[in-house]
Amino acid sequence: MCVSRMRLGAAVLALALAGSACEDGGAPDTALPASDADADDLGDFAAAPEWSAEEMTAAAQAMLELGFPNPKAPYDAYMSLLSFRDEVCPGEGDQLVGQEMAQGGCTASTGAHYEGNTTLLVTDESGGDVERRSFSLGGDFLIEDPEGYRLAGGGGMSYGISRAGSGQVDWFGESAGTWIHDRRDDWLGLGISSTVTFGGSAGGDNAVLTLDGSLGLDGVYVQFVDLTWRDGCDAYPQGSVRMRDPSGLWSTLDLADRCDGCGAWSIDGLGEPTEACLDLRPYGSAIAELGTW
Amino acid sequence: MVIFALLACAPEAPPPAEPVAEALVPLDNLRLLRRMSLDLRGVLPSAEELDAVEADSAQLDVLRDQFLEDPRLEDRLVALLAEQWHTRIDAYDIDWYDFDLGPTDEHRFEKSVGEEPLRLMAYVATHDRPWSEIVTADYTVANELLRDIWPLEYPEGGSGWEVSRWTDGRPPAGVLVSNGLWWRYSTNPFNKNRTRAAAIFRLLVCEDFPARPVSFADATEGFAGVDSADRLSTDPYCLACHAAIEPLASSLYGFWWFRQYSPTEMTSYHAEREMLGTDALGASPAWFGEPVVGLEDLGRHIAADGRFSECATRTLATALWRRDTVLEDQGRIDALEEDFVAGGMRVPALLHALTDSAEYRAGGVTAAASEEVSDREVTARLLSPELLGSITLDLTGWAWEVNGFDQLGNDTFGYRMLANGVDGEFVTRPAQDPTLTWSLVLARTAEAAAYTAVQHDLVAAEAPRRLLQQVTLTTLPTDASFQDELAALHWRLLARRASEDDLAALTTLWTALEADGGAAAAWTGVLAALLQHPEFASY
Amino acid sequence: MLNRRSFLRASGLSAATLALASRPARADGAPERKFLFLLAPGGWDPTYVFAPQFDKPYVDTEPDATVATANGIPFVDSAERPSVRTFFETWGDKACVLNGFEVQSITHDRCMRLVLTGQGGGGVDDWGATIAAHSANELLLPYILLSGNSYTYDHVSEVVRVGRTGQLPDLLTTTGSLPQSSLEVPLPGADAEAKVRAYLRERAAAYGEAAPAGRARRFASLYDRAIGQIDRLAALSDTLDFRAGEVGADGLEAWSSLEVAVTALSLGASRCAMVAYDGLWSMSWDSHSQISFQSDHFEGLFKHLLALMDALAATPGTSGAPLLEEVTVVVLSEMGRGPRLNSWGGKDHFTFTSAMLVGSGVRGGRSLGAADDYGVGRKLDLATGDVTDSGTAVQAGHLGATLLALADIDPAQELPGGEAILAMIE
Repeated sequence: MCVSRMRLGAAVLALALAGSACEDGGAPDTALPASDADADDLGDFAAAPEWSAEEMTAAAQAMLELGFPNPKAPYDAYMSLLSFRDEVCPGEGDQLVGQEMAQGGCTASTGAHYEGNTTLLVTDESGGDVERRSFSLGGDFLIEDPEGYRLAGGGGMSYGISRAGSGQVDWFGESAGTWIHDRRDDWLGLGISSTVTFGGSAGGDNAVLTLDGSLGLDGVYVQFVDLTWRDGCDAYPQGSVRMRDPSGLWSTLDLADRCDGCGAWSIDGLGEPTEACLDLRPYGSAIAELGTW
Repeated sequence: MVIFALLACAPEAPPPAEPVAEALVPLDNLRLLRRMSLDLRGVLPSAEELDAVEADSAQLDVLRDQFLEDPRLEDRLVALLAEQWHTRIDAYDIDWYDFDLGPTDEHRFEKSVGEEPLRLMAYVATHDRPWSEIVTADYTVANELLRDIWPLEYPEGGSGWEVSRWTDGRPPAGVLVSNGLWWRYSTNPFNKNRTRAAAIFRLLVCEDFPARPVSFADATEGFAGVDSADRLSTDPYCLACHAAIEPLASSLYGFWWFRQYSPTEMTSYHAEREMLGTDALGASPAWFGEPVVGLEDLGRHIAADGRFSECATRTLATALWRRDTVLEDQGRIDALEEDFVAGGMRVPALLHALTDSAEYRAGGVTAAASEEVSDREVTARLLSPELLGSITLDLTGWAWEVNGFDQLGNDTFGYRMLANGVDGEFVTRPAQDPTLTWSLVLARTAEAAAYTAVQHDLVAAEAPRRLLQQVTLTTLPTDASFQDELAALHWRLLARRASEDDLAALTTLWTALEADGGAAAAWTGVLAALLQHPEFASY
Repeated sequence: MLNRRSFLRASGLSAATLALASRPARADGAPERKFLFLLAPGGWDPTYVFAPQFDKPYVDTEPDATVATANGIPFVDSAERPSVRTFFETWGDKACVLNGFEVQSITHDRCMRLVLTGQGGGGVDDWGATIAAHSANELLLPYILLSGNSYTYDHVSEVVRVGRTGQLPDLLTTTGSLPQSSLEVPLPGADAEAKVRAYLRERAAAYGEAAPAGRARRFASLYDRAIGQIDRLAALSDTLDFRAGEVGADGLEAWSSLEVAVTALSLGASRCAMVAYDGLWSMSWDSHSQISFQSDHFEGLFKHLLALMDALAATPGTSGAPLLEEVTVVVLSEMGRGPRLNSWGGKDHFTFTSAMLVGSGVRGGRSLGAADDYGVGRKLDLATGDVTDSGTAVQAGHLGATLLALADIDPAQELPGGEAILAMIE
């Protein structure tokens, strides 16, 4: 997958998800195919999958290896980019507010450009029986640094962690919307579209990691359905993962009963299940790591 | 409860139809030529075209067939479809400034977004594609502005509206994956794509679900402890509609935006969200009970649905007959549809048949016609704001524009609704009767167009002339060229040979205006008068 | 009292110059009744004002609000809405509330059409256009639409839209340059325009005479009428001012439009007028979340109503008596809100809603209609106003029929099965 930069420095960075569209220098193929002259067979259409189980899981695996959509990454980027502010643009406070900011934004003396509106909520309740830290960054915005790299977000990123006196730690997070920071070369550099929630609990009786939601990254689209990591399953989750074939068909990998990342895979409504595997341990590790107080 | 659903499905035999053709008086060939030229090209017939039909009535059909191949038909179809698809609105959830455009781009932005799905349909119609392609196309039609703000491949070196392809992985489904359509028919967390489902039903198969009466008095008793969402999937009364709405709404979650008003979210397709609808609505994607797998499959189901071709026929009949189709039209609609489908769903053939119809060619009704037919058949049509704009631009080179806004094409600063136009939100059908505000818009347009023409042709005496071919500022009413000019203008603008009375009235007007303001003012006034003449303003 | 730029700049200009001498259309010799529609788009929650339902077990109501009664009208009272209390205490004797009538749809578009026309499909005219069309007078601006919605079919020419941003005054300019145009185009001037219009009226007459039966003759007739209206407007071009006053900090654009509406009615230029009030900060009444905003919207609405009633009482009508004696104010919304709060703290669409009539011809001091335990409207005896299971399930069409009756129009002629709620009429 590649990203095409907007020609006019506009507020939106389009996520070009078709590889051919991003090859430099090539004229796009806009020739039309022969039209469907016979309308009678329209109803007989049946989508056929383009990928095998191996190809599907390989694509999903490659996507996973681009990194976990950690909400701290865009948050850290955002906070870092605020350092290019001046007293006027965007002024005091860590949020981008106001109609002027929404309509066109401003350019600081450093050359950084801020545009859009954001809401930022950061809490730090240290001390006490239960300590909590969290952030929530939401909005629709674009920040361009003095070198021209841009962070754009439309949605919300949040993360929170709490630690009880007993030592139990609970954490949660959400990566939702469309986000991209083209300075990076990881998942955030490519840009994601997601509605992912995750969480974990450790140090108590019931250690668990959870992941649910949908993720689009590098032209691959998956939906995590109630993935749960528990002790005694060799760091593999149980649950299911749905993956989208380029034809538009969705497939399901059922990980309900196994602890090896493998399970029954089938295209929804088509054919018999076969065995397929997807190694979600990196995601589990990433979620676990977020449980560090 | 269930009875509602049954009644909605039960075929109803149309009442014995009054033979409409017998009740209608055809328009004379010249005025009919004028009507066809306006409807299919958006401009008046030339004097030569009028001469040809006057000399040989067979030329009428020859010219009509040429009109059907004229490149301007595409623009006309955009305007006609806009009256029913309602996508040309003045504001969306995203604004021009979200894309680094300037204030003078505002109207161009709004117009481009709203026209994108219409341009796709018009392209299909005018490029020998079957109408079914509007829901199966793997392309859209976009312009440079959209190229710059949406994930599109636009032809290198292209200009204006060109076939373009989406680059964000959205499935091939024509208007079903149109940004313009879904920006117009937006949704929110409470609505869950139901508005969009209703739009698809209305626009593509002419099933107007919101038109069905809904009464909570008739629903099952008691809402206590029952969430309205649960009710939709369990109460038989609600299911009468929602059994179809929910599954279709479920299929549209690739356009589910986590954050409204966000260009970052709303510009691209989100394939990873396609399956969220099943959970959100408790219904898997389906088209009237038939499961669909993605929007490509949905498009094909829609195209294969018998109501699709009938709806297309009705839509274009409404556009050209300038009225809603009624039960009495069913027989004619059936016949038109049959031919439309047999011919591979090619729109020009349908337009040909519609412009042959008695309803289209009517200029009046007989004395024996019923009041119902007399009121229903639009035998005299009102110039729409689009037509007023395209005619005056073609004739005089003048367009009413301010800061990039087409003043006959918007209601933010302009006069579209005041000129009886459709704004797509508050006014959803064009009005056919003159109103005070329509007359005012017509007057101002006529005055400005006339002034422009006179300045060009007579004051600056630029060549080639646009409208006034024979006179100069020193021509007098007693000169032959004076009367010839009036006659030529009358012919060109009204498609009727001027009578002596017509010429005398214009001469009198000219003389009165000249006495106060001079020759230029007089010609401006005469031209403005003709551009407001009832036979100019109706067609 | 009117305290902004008024519709008429020059003093001494009487109503008679804007309409033919009013010919009474009513048997009692009073001038024909006029109507001012105040629309709350989006779907209000009647339980915040009109319909106290604290005793309904399955209806979520506003905490900290109570039932009060003024002039015989029970209403929901809250310290946050002083204008509501003041309204009913001051004008309740002239107001009649109708609760629990049904608008049989749950989509905004369809409900708006139903509440204003009684029917969900096209091919019908709304109450304002119908009433204006039945005027015995040749009105200059029969139904002036300052904001809000209008649906027309037969009576298209009755509606005069001022424009979303008040564009109509631009079009009335006869001197200087064409307004709102990048190109400088001088206007021909009033005299030249008058000459052209005279020519056009002559041509329209000839066109109408020569045209075959059908819409062409209708076109000619309405075309001539429109030109005539321009003539009459042009004659007053130096004195007419449609432009509303400044918008206040709390979004009182609605009041500015109401002021124009009052003036149009008082001069006899219009028989009907509509203004929409979109609530606090123009948020609209469609409270799917945070239902508490309804309180702010109603406070704003009733603040406008109070100012409106004062203006109507202080402004002379065409009869010379206060306009309040000639005008019926119709306050309505296209739908109600459901009985239960949803998970966002708001309420969803509901087919049952309320409306209020105030002023001329209204049997005041009454609140009609009731709801059952689920907020569903109960049947009503249309003649007595008694809630009874043997009564009629009241729908939007009944409200419309009531308005038609107040306008001295036989409802049955305009509305299939149209039956007025006589209990609302004096």
